[in-house]
Amino acid sequence: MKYFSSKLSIFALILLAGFFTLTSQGCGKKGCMDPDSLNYDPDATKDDGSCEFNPEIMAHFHSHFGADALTYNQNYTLSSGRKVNLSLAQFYVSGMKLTDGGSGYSFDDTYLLVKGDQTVYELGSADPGQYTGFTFDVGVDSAANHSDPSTYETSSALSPQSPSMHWSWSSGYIFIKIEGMADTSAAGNGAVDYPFELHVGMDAMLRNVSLSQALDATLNNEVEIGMVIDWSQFFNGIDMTTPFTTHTMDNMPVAMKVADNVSSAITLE
Amino acid sequence: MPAAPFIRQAMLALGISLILSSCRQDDLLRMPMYEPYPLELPPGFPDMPVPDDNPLTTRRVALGKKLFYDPLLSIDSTVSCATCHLQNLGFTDGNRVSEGVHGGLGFRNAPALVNLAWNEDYMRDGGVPTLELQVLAPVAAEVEMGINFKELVDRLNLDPTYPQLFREAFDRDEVDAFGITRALAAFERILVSGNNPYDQYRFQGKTEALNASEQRGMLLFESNELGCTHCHGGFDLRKNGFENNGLYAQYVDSGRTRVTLNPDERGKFKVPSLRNVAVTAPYMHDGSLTDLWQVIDHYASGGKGHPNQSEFITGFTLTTTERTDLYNFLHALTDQDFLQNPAFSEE
Ligand code: HEC
Ligand code: HEC
Repeated sequence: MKYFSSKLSIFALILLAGFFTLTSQGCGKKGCMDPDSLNYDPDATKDDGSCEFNPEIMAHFHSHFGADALTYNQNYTLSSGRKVNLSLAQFYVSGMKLTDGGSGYSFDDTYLLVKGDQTVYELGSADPGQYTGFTFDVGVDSAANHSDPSTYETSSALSPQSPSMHWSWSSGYIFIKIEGMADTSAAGNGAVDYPFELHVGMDAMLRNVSLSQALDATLNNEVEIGMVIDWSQFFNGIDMTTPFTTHTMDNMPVAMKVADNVSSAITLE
Repeated sequence: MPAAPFIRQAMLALGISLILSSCRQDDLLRMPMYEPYPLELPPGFPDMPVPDDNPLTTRRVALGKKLFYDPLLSIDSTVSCATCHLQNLGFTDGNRVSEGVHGGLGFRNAPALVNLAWNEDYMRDGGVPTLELQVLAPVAAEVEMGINFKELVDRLNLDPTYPQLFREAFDRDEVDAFGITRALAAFERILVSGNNPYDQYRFQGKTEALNASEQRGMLLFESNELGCTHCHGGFDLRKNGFENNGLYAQYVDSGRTRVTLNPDERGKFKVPSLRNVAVTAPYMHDGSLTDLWQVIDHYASGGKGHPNQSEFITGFTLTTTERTDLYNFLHALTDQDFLQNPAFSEE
């Protein structure tokens, strides 16, 4: 009984306190009531729809193989006439920045794992502005490249992934991972029977992509940057009549080609 | 209506919040989660470097030990860390190269796990900078445990005991990669060996710890002519760094070059500690030397003359007695306490 009454007394006190706070603020102040907004008014008691938010930036990466949309495990013919299919195609993106004449807007500490079967990626909000382009690196910048994957939140692209995007024996990320089957016969007879792996990493393999496009990032808007990845471009210059698998260290020439093909593989939509 | 109970409650709440906010370092250490692991370093050892994000706590060490001996960490639940790192063999496996899941053979000899906290690099080529990061390697390696780390995290979260143990050892809700790597590394740091007869002779003033032959072997080992201590010197009988000890004229395993791509480092391997070396056969990165006689003869021969071979590998001539003395001395580096310490054994 005693316990019960003490509970009651606390309840009464809270009610009383609440009453005073409410009345002391005055009634019906209009304003923006969303604490995540730029103009949040803590005194507002009635939302008047005036909330302002920074523009949200979205990157759309449309995966193609030549002229077709990419489907995993489907045979495609390269311009050389050679057949190939992909079972996995993904790369890291870091150092993303919206450019303008000045310092632009950098998405610091934002990393994407761009996958052949996913198109839409949220970069987060940016300062409003008239931007003239979008630039980023394919791969992971050297500071993060040598960091410990187990220190990242599970939601981060840099945390351990399945399939793995990290070389544990050299403590670095796999920047680009493309796997599938290819026809390696000298004549290109159409037998897609060679399982290949293109695993490209190491600091020196980081490649910049700079795209020019007017991006009008105004308050309360969502800005979409549309891009195309033509995965067939990654095979440019690789002699596919030899076993061309690379894990970078064991086949540097092929790894280098794959990295250098980044610029022709990624274009504006 | 009596106000007294309310006041009492308020006082209590105030008291608790005061205690919480005045929580100093010593108070933290007294909380079970942060209770430090009682570790006593052997005489002659420098302080143990421990990373800020992984204090040596009793709970982390205990959890790390459980993980170390658990085959659940491999894809088909057949291989644990201890499959290749057995305590009675100084945490090596006695094989030329190790066998992992599905009978897969690796390409290197499993190194001893001893006094790892003082190492600056891990793996024979030094590709891994911290003990925490090292954990990712055997788990993922197809010829070792062969399981994706993310899948391992999911697997341990479904286990009836692990989630609770992780919550008790870390200020986190569930099993995650951070906890697995920190716990295993914490256990590995307590694998300290510093009580072999040579330690007793050198650091504990026990002159009778080494017999006459072992003492003569020690003088040979420490001599300029043999030069062993250029690389295997100091409190841990090793120095940090990589050397080419002239094992081959041409190396199949490029060693340090594998991670640096620098051709001048071809055939350079991490200098191993010689602690417990009598029980860690076979020897070298590829397990190619089967016993310590072969090791002595290799160094006596002056090496195969690889361009990167160290200037300290020059060759020497020993009498039959001297050869035996050096062999006996290497056997005096065996620390029985370490090989039998129940704190390191499976429970
Ligand atoms: C299949 C055998 C095998 C298993 C299982 C295994 N290891 Fe190893 N371990 C090795 C080999 C071989 C090396 C050397 C690898 C190299 O240098 O490339 C090694 C190296 C190490 C090293 C580096 C030592 C040094 O001196 O640099 C540590 C630490 C280690 N292992 C800990 C572990 C832990 C922890 C586990 C369990 C999660 C484990 N190992 C599981 C075979 C194994
Ligand atoms: C220039 C540095 C250097 C010198 C001098 C040197 N070693 Fe070594 N030692 C190494 C390296 C590096 C390794 C590992 C080589 C490998 O992994 O292939 C090694 C390996 C060993 C091993 C095998 C350890 C194991 O667990 O596999 C023994 C035993 C050994 N050395 C004993 C000696 C003795 C005895 C001497 C003196 C006669 C000596 N070393 C001189 C660098 C040196």
